[in-house]
Amino acid sequence: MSGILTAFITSTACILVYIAFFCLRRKTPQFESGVRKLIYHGKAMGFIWLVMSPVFFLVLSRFNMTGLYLLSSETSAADIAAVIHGVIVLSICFFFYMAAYYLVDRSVSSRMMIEIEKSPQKRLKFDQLKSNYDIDKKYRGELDGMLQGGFLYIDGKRYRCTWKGRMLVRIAVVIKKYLKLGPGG
Amino acid sequence: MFKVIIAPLICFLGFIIAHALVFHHLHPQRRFRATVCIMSASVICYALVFWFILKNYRGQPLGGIFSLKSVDALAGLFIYVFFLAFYYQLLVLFDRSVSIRMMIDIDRSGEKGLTLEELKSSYSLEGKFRDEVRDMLFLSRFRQEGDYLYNTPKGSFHARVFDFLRRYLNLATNR
Repeated sequence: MSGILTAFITSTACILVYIAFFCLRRKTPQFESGVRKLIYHGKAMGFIWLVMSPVFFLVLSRFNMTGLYLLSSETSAADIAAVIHGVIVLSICFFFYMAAYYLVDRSVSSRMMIEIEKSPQKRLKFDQLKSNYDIDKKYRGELDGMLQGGFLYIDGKRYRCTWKGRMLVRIAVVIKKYLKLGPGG
Repeated sequence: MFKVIIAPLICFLGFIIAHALVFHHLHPQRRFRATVCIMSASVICYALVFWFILKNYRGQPLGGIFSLKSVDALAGLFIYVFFLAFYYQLLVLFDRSVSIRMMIDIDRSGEKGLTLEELKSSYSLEGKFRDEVRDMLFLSRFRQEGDYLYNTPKGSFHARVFDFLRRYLNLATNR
């Protein structure tokens, strides 16, 4: 149990350090493409997590002094600790599965690769790719998904955000602003 | 180890099989809702198996190779690394999601809202497509010869796997 608590505490500290690092930077880094930006952020995160790992072991040793790790043994709370750990493992698996699922379902680049693979000569010009993709269908597909999820509602021909949609927008705007991610999409 | 790692992994395997079968044979309309239902059923299944079958099972942690303290530290490290992956994935989602970008543009228009045509002019998907092509060239999934774009062997493999999964799970092929 002390391992789980330590992971929660140290990860929260890492996230705060990461946000502070990007908030305090005066210059916004510029990138040629979206992928380069994400690689940069990934490296920055990996670095912070690595640098903070001694803090992880420090916090863990403090918890161990209190004997909290014995919760994983045969104490009265052992079963509750074990079931919490099991549910956390399940949640982690679900999370990675969902990330992979949405990548398969929504990825624009994957669809482009599929279009090229299916073309008779296995090659396409950008304009052909664009017309095969059907931009209008893509807009409608995304909007239909958001209507179905209750993030938008339609009033005549106009799309408006619901309360749920506005909450998500607020979170997204704060994240994009503080991490200087740009408009994205 | 069996109670807290192998049993949840078996339940997760059950979830993947159930998810694939439901999506392949039943074509659910509300796909996210269907997935959440299958997930919840897996968690309930794990909890029931735990309380009725595994509760009194007392095995040695990781087959008795490691001490209790080491097992606890390993579990913590696993979750610590997971948080890194989780946070990064969240950032990717907020940065790359077309839906979130559309919602931001709609929200910025205030009470008025946006029509499809207005949305198209505020957020050009053509620009998005150009960025994606540039990213695929950078990641060596595409190669360009003159005006033509080709899949590299890596891109071709990626396309075949994703096409198979989209078809098998009956996901829309026009996304």
